[in-house]
Amino acid sequence: MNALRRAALLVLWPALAQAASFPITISNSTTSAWSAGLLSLKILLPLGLTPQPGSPYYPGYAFSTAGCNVSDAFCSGACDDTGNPTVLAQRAGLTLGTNAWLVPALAAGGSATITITTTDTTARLSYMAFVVGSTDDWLALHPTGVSGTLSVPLFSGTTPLENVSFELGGYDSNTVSMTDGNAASCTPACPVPATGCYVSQGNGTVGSTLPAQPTPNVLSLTVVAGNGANTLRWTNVGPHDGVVIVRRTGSAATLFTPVAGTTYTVGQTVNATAPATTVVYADNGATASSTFVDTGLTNGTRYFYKVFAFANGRRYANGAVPSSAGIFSEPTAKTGQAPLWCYSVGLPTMQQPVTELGAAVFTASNTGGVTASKTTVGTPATDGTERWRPVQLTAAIQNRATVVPLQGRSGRYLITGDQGGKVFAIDSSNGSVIWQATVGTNIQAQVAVQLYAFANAAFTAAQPGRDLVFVATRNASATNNQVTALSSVNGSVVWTYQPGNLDIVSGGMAVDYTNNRLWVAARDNAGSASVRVLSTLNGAQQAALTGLGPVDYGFNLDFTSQQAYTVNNTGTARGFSLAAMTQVWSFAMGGAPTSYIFPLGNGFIASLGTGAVRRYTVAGTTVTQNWTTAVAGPSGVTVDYTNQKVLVGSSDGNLRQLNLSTGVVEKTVPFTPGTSTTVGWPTIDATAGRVHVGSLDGRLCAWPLPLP
Amino acid sequence: MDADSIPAVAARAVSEPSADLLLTRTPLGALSLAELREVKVQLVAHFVSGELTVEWVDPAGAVYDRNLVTLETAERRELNFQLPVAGTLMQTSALTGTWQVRVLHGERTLASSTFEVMP
Repeated sequence: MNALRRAALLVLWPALAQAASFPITISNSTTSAWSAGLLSLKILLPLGLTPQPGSPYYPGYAFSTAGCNVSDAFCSGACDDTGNPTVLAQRAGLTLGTNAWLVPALAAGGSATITITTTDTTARLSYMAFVVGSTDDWLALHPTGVSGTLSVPLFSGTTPLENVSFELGGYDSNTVSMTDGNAASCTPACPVPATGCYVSQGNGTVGSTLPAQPTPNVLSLTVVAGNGANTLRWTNVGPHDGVVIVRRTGSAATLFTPVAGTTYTVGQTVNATAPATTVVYADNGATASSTFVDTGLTNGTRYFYKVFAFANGRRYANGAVPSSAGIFSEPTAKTGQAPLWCYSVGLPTMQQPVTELGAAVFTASNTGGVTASKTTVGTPATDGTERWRPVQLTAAIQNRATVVPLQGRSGRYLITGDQGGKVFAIDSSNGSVIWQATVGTNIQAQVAVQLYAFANAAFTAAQPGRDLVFVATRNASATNNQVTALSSVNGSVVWTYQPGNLDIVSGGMAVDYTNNRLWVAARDNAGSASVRVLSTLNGAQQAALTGLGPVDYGFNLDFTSQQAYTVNNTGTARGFSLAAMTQVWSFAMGGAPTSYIFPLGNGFIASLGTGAVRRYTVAGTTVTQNWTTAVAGPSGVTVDYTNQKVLVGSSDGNLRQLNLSTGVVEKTVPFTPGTSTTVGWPTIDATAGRVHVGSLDGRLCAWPLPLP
Repeated sequence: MDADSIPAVAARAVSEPSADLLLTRTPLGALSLAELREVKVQLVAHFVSGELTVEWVDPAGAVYDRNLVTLETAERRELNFQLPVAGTLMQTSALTGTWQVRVLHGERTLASSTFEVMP
């Protein structure tokens, strides 16, 4: 088995424009040898190299596999394609010496120089190296973070580049298996091209370095606030030699830009502008940490951090992670109204978190990261710390994950979609992605799931051995949206409802297990139906209701009345009979909602943008207001049935506890005393006696219940 | 030669990175949260290589969202990004006021622009 291999490739001294000559020196800097290689002016992607989906930093490419022995016009008699650049050139229609050049074997520390000449100012250089024989290792050239190409330009306009350097990374395909993108193992086609068969996880440092390309930032920077301390964690991205962390109190540490080649030391003031910006952590370049505990801090004080990665002679990244403002955290005394812990991700995380009772809380944010925080009542040292590193999706996530057990698998799984149109199923125990799928270009609504284990005979007969995951799109289109049912086994599409007049779906859907129906709410472009009812068995439309106005907040089931509740964008709440699929009642609340209405059993609680939370009772077709309470910019509500409380966030920076019977505000807890942010939609962990809630300023915090 | 010691030398022919951006609303002319569906940015980057970040800054001055893209050096690259509005957190939290979009490359802000979102 081969370990990581790295090599360097240099393009030097081009001749004059037009017929440019490029002596290319390829140096192998590692202790591992490469058997052979191929330089090409043709982009290698069309040769069967398929980018690995979902991993822009570690793209893998299925090209060939060991034992791919075929006999055809290119290879007389059974011969091994693996690591055979001559065969590769033949299959790709390349002409050696014209647009392709063989590179001899490189011993450890060895080098070779190949001179290529081209008059093509659009020429782009590609390079692959192989290990021939019993292994199938290969090395491909591509710019850091770019998975869509394996080539780099040799000209800028019509001018040949004078000096282009690449840093190459090796890939050991012996240590991972290939999949079809849906977690199913596969074997690449033989001979190439092999499409739809990928290496699911890279284990090598990849990427090339174009001139002046900055060092990449670290990823997934988070901070957990503890008592007198902040614990920072991040994920390193190659090339990476270490980090320097600076801190400033009160406001963002944007007054410092590290200078390339400069070594910074802990305690050094790098900008004296009050409050000063100080180095609080510095790697020495020989070790690369991924966590730092900043101790001796003052509880309740806001500390801003920026993390600057460095590599290649202390060239620093810009530290814009998760944004150019860096990240902040406030240590907490964990007493009184201070939170038990807070977890900073840096960008808004306003959706309702979801809990694994007494064990963990999960949420997501505009960073595109899905996070898992431990709940360890009685063990403050681990309370609020990460269960696993954030799982990075492809775009912002603004919906609540659905956490379910899946048919045929043990454990529980988070299923969520992002604003890039991707759906991910994630193992809640370890953060591993079990499958992903692409559904449209934007997903805003919470996904719904119909579980095989709880379904009736009609469903289990139609969908044997699998649950269905329902995903609706919020594409940038008022007509071209869809609802798709995915198999819980591998994320494959089971059915798609795409009528051609479905406006954006932003709110969650509701599953009626009795009738095997899915309730979908949408906007109503050009008078299109904003309420649709679909068969969960096959996606057939069973009802389409018009004239209800745009609906962004989705459906919930009221089990007591056997109705589906929703509210349109101007504040008219409605109840629909699950059996008849017709409206039973409606009520105009006099203001636009800020969330779906929360069913209470023949009644509901509504949050209104006019600055009120209201409780209503429904009797037949009559709706009666029970109470109304002023709350500025209220979030959606959650109900603590144990203590008979309603919890709601607010745009005034507070989390409030209302009496469920009267609506009276019993407790008001500031997210951060003295500062303001918008508090998100809380959730309750009844086992732990906790409420968890996010904020617009990018934190997830925990308080005890009832609120202090 | 060790790969890690390769000096980073800018290509002689490469000019200074720069960017231009154009903001558009969907539907055209929509100003209010109730009407506005997306804000789109058409970005033209010149001689930019490496990581380019587009930050969307809310009316309170906090970064709300960002898009990352890694580019190869090219004389001109056209990129499109969009900020979904309808049905999103922008709507539910009534994030109205003056928004900013800015394009960062390393420590430099290559371009920025503002747009209004009305209640």
